[in-house]
Amino acid sequence: MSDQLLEIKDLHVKAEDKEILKGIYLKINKGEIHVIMGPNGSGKTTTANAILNNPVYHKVRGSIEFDGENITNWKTDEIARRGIFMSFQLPEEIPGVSVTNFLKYAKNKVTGRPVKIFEFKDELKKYMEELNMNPKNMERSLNVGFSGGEKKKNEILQMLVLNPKLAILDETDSGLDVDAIKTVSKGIEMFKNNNNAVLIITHNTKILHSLKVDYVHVLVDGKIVKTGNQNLAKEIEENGYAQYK
Amino acid sequence: MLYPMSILNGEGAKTEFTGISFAGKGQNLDNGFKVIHNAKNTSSIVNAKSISKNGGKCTYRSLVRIEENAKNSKSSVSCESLMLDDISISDTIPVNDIRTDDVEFSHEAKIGKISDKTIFYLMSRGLSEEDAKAMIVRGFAYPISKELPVEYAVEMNNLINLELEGAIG
Repeated sequence: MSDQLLEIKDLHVKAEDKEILKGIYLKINKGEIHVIMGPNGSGKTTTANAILNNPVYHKVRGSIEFDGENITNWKTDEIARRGIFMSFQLPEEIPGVSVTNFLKYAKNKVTGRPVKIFEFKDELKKYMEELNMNPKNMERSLNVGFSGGEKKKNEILQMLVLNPKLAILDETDSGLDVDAIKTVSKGIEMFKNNNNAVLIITHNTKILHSLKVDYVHVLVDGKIVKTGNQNLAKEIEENGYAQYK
Repeated sequence: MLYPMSILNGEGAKTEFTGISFAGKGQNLDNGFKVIHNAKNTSSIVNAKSISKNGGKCTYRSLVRIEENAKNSKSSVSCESLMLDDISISDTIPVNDIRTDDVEFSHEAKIGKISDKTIFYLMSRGLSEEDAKAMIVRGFAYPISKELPVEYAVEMNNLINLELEGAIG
């Protein structure tokens, strides 16, 4: 199927000898927005990190297919260049490297083409305006001294600039105020088209109020225990995760 | 070993020292700076950085002496070290000999290691492990390289890239 972007089959993942994911199955097609919800410690962040093959996590069994390739054991940078992006829960700080220079460098790596500087700066400026970001941040060191909200918006900015086929947003909505959540949703809507997909990982339902999603998956104790539509998120908002434990 | 020294004998004399060292395998770079404040209203600024990899060792050694007659003098010393792996070493040995009360003196030292988390973050943006390390090191050196004339700054970045290519494989 040419519409299929990501397929995870029977994924078991360990971190420091503890099995965290116990058989994940997930299929994402082009044009879809998926949400993985789950209580703390259920394996949400591990799922995101396992897709990007973070060396801290060990895949015991299972496979990840992306855009027609088996990427299970690819290196993180190869996966990123193939078209998967992850927005971090806690973005790292890089002193001495400005946001502009970092993005220019990363875009060059991801596209494999030299970046046209004036076009690039215009693009950056346009996105920053849409995301209500201070243009002065462009010349500041990446994430250094940024507030929590600025860091999260900066992740969304990176997603827009790098334009991946699949964007994984790990707890991008947590710790944000109402206005910032709206800005993040706006960024996701700007990014989204029929040829790419978004996977949102969250433990609350706030972001789902301002964004239309196609599938909601409930992750409990390393397994997806239920899949549904937006109504499933509403049900969890009312009743919590207790019924799935 | 390199220890430039300034003796501030005239009233209001100033000195500034900026340096960076990069120690690779089998190297022990022992660098530093000496300054003697020997007159009123003198000031000194020291900004030293070091990078060590593959078991290299960087030692920073400094002496700041403010004599009794050097009233109302200022000195600010900052040294930062970055280690690229678990086997490299960084030592900071500052000696501060202040003989009068009426001075402003500050000493700041930071030692850090490139974290796996930071490398994973950069790799998730499409940078190879080598690119990621080189970017972190160039950023670390940026406060120094921005003070250099552009030809030298380019040269320094090239040297950093060359050094790091050797660090892997």
